[in-house]
Amino acid sequence: MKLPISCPSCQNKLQVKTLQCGNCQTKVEGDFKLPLLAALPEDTQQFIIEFVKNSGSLKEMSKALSLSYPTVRNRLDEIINNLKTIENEK
Amino acid sequence: MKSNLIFNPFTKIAGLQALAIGLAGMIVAGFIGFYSHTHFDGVLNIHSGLESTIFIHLLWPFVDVLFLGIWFSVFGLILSSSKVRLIDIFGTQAFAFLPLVPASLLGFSKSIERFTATLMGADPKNIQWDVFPIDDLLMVIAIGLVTVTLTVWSGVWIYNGFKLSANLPHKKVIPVFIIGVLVGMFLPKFLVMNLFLN
Repeated sequence: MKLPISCPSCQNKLQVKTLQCGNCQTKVEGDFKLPLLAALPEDTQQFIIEFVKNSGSLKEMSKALSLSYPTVRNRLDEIINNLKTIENEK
Repeated sequence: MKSNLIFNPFTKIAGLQALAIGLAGMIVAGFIGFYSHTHFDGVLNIHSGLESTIFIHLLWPFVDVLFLGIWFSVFGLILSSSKVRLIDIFGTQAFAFLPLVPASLLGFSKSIERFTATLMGADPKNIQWDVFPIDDLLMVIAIGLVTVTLTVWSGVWIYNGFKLSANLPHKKVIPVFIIGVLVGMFLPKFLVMNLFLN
């Protein structure tokens, strides 16, 4: 199931209210902010996972994704800018 | 995705690979141009009727692409906050020449030759269109349309190649592209004429 990260009504970022143990069903309630990476869209998270798996090499990433080097670099620059924006919002 | 690749192949190809393919295309166009008397005497410029050495025919596309590569490298490095690779700029610009390669064949048409000869002999103030054979006229119109299409296609690739290589927004790419193409239409012609044809 896809983790919702923004409110379907007002598009604001969602927060974590409840966490539950999958074994004993113990629930923890509070106001937890989503971790930075979890606050990113799913395709962006996938890109970051691939980037780490390719040892942070844009050349390897471009081969793995069958995209040109500047296309991959531009995508990474876009993600960096998004991360900076999210960090500044906090 | 396929239609995107027609207008922007650089999401898939850039750098050294694009440079190698582009250079091969430029050499092919230069060779064909030598035999068809077609030359690329400026960025997005195609003219027929020049009889020159094979060196000059091969030189034109290189000077055009070299100019665009230097122009876009300078502005890419100044305007972009990304890590711009010069090999991507030169590679995409060389590759953007490819749509013009088929245009080097158009000079083989005898219609253009006859049309130009008739036009040169006509009184410019009183051109009688019925002196041009209709099949020549239609062929010249068809060649004109094909040339314009190929030129626009190459122009779109030049634009997209620079935009992607330098990771710049449209508002920054547009003025650099327009001025670059306008200067590139005349500067390579001026340089080659003064350095090699005098």
